[in-house]
Amino acid sequence: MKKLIFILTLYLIATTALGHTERPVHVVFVNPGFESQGFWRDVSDTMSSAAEEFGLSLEILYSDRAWPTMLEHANNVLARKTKPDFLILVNEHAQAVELLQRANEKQIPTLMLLNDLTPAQRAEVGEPLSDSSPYWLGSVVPDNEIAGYEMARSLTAALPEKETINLLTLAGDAVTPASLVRLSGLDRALAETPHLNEQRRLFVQWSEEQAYRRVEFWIKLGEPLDAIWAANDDIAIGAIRALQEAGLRPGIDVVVAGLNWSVRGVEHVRDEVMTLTHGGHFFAGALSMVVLHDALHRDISLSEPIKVYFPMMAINQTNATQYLEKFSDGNWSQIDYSQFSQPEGSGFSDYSFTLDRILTSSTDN
Amino acid sequence: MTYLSLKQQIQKRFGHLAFRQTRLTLGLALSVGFLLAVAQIIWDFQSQKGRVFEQFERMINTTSPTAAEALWSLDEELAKGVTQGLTSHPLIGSARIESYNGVVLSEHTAPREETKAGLFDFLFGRFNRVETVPLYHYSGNGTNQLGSLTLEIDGRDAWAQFSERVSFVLVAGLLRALILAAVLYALFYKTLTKPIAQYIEWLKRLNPDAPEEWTDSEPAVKDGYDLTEFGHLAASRFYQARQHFLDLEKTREELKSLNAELEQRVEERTAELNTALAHAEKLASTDPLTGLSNRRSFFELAEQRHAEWLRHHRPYALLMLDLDRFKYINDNYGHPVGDLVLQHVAKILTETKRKEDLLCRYGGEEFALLLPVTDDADIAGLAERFCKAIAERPVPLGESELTVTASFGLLPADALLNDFDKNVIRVDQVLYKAKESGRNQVAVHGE
Repeated sequence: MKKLIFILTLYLIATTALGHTERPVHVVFVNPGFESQGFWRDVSDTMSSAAEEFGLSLEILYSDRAWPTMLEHANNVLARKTKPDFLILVNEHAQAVELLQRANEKQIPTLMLLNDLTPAQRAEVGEPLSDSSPYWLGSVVPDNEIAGYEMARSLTAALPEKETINLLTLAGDAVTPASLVRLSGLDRALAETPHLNEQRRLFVQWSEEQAYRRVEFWIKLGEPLDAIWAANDDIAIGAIRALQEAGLRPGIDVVVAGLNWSVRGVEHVRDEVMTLTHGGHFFAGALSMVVLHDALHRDISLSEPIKVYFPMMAINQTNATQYLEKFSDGNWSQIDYSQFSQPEGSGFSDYSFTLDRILTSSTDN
Repeated sequence: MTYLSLKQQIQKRFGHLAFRQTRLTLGLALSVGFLLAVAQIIWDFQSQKGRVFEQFERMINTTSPTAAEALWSLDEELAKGVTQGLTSHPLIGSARIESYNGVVLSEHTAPREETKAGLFDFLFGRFNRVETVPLYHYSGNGTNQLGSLTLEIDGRDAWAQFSERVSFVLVAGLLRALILAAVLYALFYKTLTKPIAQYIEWLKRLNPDAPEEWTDSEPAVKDGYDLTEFGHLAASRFYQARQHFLDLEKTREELKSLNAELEQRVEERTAELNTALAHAEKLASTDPLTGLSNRRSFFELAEQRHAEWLRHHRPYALLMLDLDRFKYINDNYGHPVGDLVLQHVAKILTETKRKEDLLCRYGGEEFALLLPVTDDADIAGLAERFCKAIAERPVPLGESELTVTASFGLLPADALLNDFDKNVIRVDQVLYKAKESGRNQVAVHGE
């Protein structure tokens, strides 16, 4: 019965949006991060450019990495008299359960972005579109595991045939789920590659400086070193500085892989100092708009929950230069997002949001 | 201000008693405070020592895993935290975390003040040493030593802390004892010492030589019921004693004058009595009419003489005489003439007898003589002289004379018996023989 009501609601939204163009569909994104900079700013930027293309009215509320602020924003939105048509939430600090339940009560269709519910939370809330959570549409989450895996594989591929590759892992921290999932990708690669020998796994708290000093000390200890798996570009760049200061040639004597698609990181990849920088997960913001657009324009029978595993992608020597040319200024609106839209009838999980398509789909202006 | 002038000031202000008490209280408080503080310090030292070492062991046990973790993860921040934390312990002078091949991850030395180690070494033993704790990493592959935590153990900080504590305990202990003593002293001064000092002053003003001048009333003590009662009691007893003393003094004076008077009277009476006694004695041994010894007195002396004869064979003779026809004289001339006759005969006998002869009026008109006998003496001749003298010297009676005679009995020495009384009877018998033979003659025993 609830499902029927939801479908009706969605139908109403769709007809309103399509039939009466004077009132655009209103989407609210409660962003846990900062407005001025950083990863969450990038997420907002790609989301905004996609929303603009699809004619969606997007409202973004920033929480400055303070989860109480995020809760406050979300609760304010839920209490509004004029309800938004869609709500996009992040399970930052595992605070999404209550918000999701209230959104269900208020009958506001909600999409989880980037940080999904944990299995325990999912048991409490119920599956998307189930009777207990009829207004939870589903999740758009990046595939972090593949990132960790591909980073490790890129390191072995970059080195000449060796009996043993001595790997130093510079992890971010031991608590963030995304970080742990990436490490599980690394573990898969280690299992597949017996001669890739992880000497030590160090947690450097996402700090370039700490990465620099740990590597410096590692070299001082005289420990063997062939490859460095760095949890992000900053860590990788800190490690590279330590290698250079010790007289080692990064990319030749010791290979380094990073993550985040930071401009600095991509430049290092282009210069063959780093093997690759994995990432692109800030495009999840744009993808969430593509998914909502598809949901609005399809047949009203949203029969299956949205379950998009956004694949993370590597920038390596083959595409680094091209990427820098196009996006070093952060101009995401040159991308034609409509090409990622799926035709009616296909499921809400088969989105092919690849780097190749991003690079080729963009216009030259 | 010198000690003496302080002492004097206290004595002047509060009195000697107060000064002595001040000195005693201060001395006792300081000694007791000092002893207690020393006891506490000894106790403190023992427990402190144990605690410090226990703490030290625990600290090493709890920090070495963290140090190992820091070395494993090459975490300088964590290592720095560990070494700084360790050196904040008073026993640890410096701490160093290093890898097995001697690369130092973190080293920290606590800032130390240079202290003399003499007493410290004595108390804590020489345990300044370097202790190396191995750091291990445990993994699925087993255990391997990563490096070590090197600690330089230096007890001087602990010693400095302890000596600080010692001086604190000492000063605090003495101060506490002094304050307590001062409070108690003030209390006792107010309630006891000061009133007693007042009583002493009051007692001093009571001149023992002039009890009549005791006019100061005793001091009253505010809120000191017992002491006030003491004062009242003492004062009333003193005044009682004073009254008794004054009474006694008066009585003594009276007694003294009475005594003097009595003494004088006794003297007078004694003199009177002595005179009377002499007179009475004379009366008792003398015949009042003739002034000769009486019969009792004669017998006393004669018996003595008889005893000498018995013991020493000093012989004597007894002579007894009786006036002839004395009754006739009395009847015809009257008793006053009789008395004159007796006096006259007594005079003749006294003049005639030898110096050593004993004479008495034996009774009535009888006279007795005891005549000591020597080899050349003529006792019979002597008796004849007595007889002749009486007959030849008449008694003058105014213009006329009266011739009297006497009869004599003589008991010579060879006729003496051992019993004196029998001798007297015997001589009396001889006298009657003379009477019977015609009077005015001497009869001799045995003729």
